[in-house]
Amino acid sequence: MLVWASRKFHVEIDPKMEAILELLPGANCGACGYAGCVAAAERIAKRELSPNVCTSASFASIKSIGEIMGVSVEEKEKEVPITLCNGGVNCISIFRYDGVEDCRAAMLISEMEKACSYGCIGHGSCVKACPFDALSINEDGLPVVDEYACRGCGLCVDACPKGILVMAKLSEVYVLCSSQDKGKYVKEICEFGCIGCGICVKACPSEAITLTNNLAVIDQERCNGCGICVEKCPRNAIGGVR
Amino acid sequence: MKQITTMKMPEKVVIPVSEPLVDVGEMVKVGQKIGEGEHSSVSGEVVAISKLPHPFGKSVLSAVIKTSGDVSVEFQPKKNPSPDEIKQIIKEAGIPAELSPSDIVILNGTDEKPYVTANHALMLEYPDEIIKGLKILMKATGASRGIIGIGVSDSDAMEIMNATREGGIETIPLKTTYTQGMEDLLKHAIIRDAEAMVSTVGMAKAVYDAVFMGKPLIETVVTVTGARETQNVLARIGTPLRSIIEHCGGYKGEPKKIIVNGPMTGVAQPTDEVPVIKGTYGILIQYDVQMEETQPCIDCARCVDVCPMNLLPNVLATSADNARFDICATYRVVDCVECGACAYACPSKIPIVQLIKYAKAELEGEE
Repeated sequence: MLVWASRKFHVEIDPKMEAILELLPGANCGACGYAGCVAAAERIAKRELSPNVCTSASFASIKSIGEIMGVSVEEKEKEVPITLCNGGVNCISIFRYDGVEDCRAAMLISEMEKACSYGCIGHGSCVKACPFDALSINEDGLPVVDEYACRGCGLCVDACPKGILVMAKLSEVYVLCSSQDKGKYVKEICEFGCIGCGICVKACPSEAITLTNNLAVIDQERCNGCGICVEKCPRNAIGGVR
Repeated sequence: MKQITTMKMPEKVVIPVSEPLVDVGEMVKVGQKIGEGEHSSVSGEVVAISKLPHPFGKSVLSAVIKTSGDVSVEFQPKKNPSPDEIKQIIKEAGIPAELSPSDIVILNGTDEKPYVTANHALMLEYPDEIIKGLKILMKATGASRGIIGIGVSDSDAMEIMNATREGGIETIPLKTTYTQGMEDLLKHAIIRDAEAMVSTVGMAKAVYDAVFMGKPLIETVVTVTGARETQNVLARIGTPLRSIIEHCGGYKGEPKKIIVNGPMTGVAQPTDEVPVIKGTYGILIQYDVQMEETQPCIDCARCVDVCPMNLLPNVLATSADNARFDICATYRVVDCVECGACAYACPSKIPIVQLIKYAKAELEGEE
């Protein structure tokens, strides 16, 4: 009976696809844009996708997949999430929240938990979203990434209701603040917020920083990573992943 | 004793407007249109238009009006309007009522929400207005019957309404149990097989004001509980909570929680600067609040027992917590009326309603 069933219901599987699936991380994170690793492996085997579509796999695995398919792949620079908010517990809370520990659920009740309406509220939607346990909320109430555990799938970025997580290359620097409030107000409520003073704009040798809506923004294409702005910022509001 | 006290003019009002028709520095009069369906409730100068706290926990664009004097625009009541004209008047007056063709208009006169007695007070103070407003609603929807549901314990209101009611209007005594007054449930409690429109006595009063006086919706009755004097206050839309609480004698001590619209469905406010909006009916101040730690669900099913919609809140809450919104959808999370009975009954203090709201929002986002 079993012999009959195994013959009758036998499914042809491309051996290449199986080998590729072995090499993919198997987290089904969906960062490639397909429903899980099986779907991605099938498409890679059919040469519809390039092996480096998977951001989660290590470069060694990607290279092995490339060997299976007989194509050469270039290494992508690793990207990890960075929180564009440095406030956390250093930003004034208006009230004590006592409900579901999830940012998106908390946002439904009130968007005014912190005095700053742009900043991180630290209830950990991103931590829950991470399939690799790479994020945690630190003692400052802000999410921090373990850059070795992170595979750069970007699910946390989608989970953040405030939209203050971005994927950053390890060498890049960002203004770690998203507040568009006036500088005076930011100074009152937050220890590290960008007050839009413009010192970094003047200091930047490659003219990569602009001020929009009381907030300094670094143009990553122009930035050469000299780090002068990090030193010059009077609020310590500029920094990178490390 | 007077049931409803009228507030003196507040120093300033904050009125949420989505698309303001006025500019900063402009002088406005009482009843002047300042946005689509929004009217100034005082006369004075618009001092600011900016994002300000709203009782629903968001910052919304609002106009701040500093009061000076008491000048109102000339209200022009319309005599004997047609149903279409009534609909137009109600819309113009900014009354949030949806008029659909129906056989019966039901008015909710019960005070089923804890710490709220606004409906009872309205019926004692304005019986004529409510009956006339109901007549107008019946005319606009083409209904032949009007029913006012009144709590059995409010026998004085029942007597007054029975004395003033006219042909085609009935009063029905209702058990004052919580969730009875929610729109669909009230309809279900009174009538099963007819097209009915459900509204409240406060809405009927507003409709009367709009049609017979030409006055837009600029004031509402709010029950204030927990201040020095517990009162029903006729407050202008936009009055900051602080002014109303001062009118009621101020705080009794250090307030711990200020809840707008009752303890079951209301929202705790971070500041007493938020304004009264259309649809605000209660302010509750608590002084002794204990925050309790949430424990895991033990499937005791107390929430299942109390759910008026016969849902399984325990399944919904656990699924939402585990981000299994597909299960929530299967278990009809959309039918939840968010009454809060489950969260109240829960011995583990699980914020069930918030989890359900979360699931609903996530499902809506997926669509």
